[in-house]
Amino acid sequence: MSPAPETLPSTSQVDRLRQEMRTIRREMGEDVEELVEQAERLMDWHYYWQRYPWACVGAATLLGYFVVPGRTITLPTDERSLGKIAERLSGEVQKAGESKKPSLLGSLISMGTGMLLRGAAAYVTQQLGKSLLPGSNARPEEVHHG
Amino acid sequence: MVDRLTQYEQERSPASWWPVAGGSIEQRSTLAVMQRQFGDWCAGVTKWVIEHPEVALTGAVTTGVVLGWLIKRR
Repeated sequence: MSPAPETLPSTSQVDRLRQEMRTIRREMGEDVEELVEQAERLMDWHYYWQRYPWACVGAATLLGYFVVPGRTITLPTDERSLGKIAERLSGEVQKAGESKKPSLLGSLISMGTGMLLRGAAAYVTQQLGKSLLPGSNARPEEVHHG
Repeated sequence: MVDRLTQYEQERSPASWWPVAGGSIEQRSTLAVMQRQFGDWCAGVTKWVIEHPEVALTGAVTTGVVLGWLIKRR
């Protein structure tokens, strides 16, 4: 038996398929080229500079600002400078100790204040005791001895 | 978009420095936005910044370094 004529593609169909495949291959190449061009353009900093000039200027200024390091404080480590610092510190400590020593007038005042406070506290305690325990203020009952 | 940009340039850009013929679409649209929002002077400065990117970049970084030096180191 011979094969059915409709299962074999005709010559015109084959040509049409070949033509379509050629077109697809050509378009794919163009698309890839366009994609590569676009990627190259996006990688170029001039593109961003043209699109956002003032943002780029601001970013560059900030970059320059943050590149500058902060000021570092260096402490002297030689013996002479350390000796001067020690002398100054010991003088300050002596002055502080002298200023804390109480004078005669100050001690008298503090002593008098303490006495006054103690007297006042005793008086208040006494008055409170009288007011809270009224019976204690009464004269003691006479004891009758038989 | 290109037609609207061309129309805007024909209507609003009598200045001789305006890059009607030359310049990319990005440059022309950026300049049109700057001119519409901030005026001719700002658009002119922007055009210079766009056309001299290396000089502008160096100037901006130098300005930042000077500012950082003045603020941080003094």
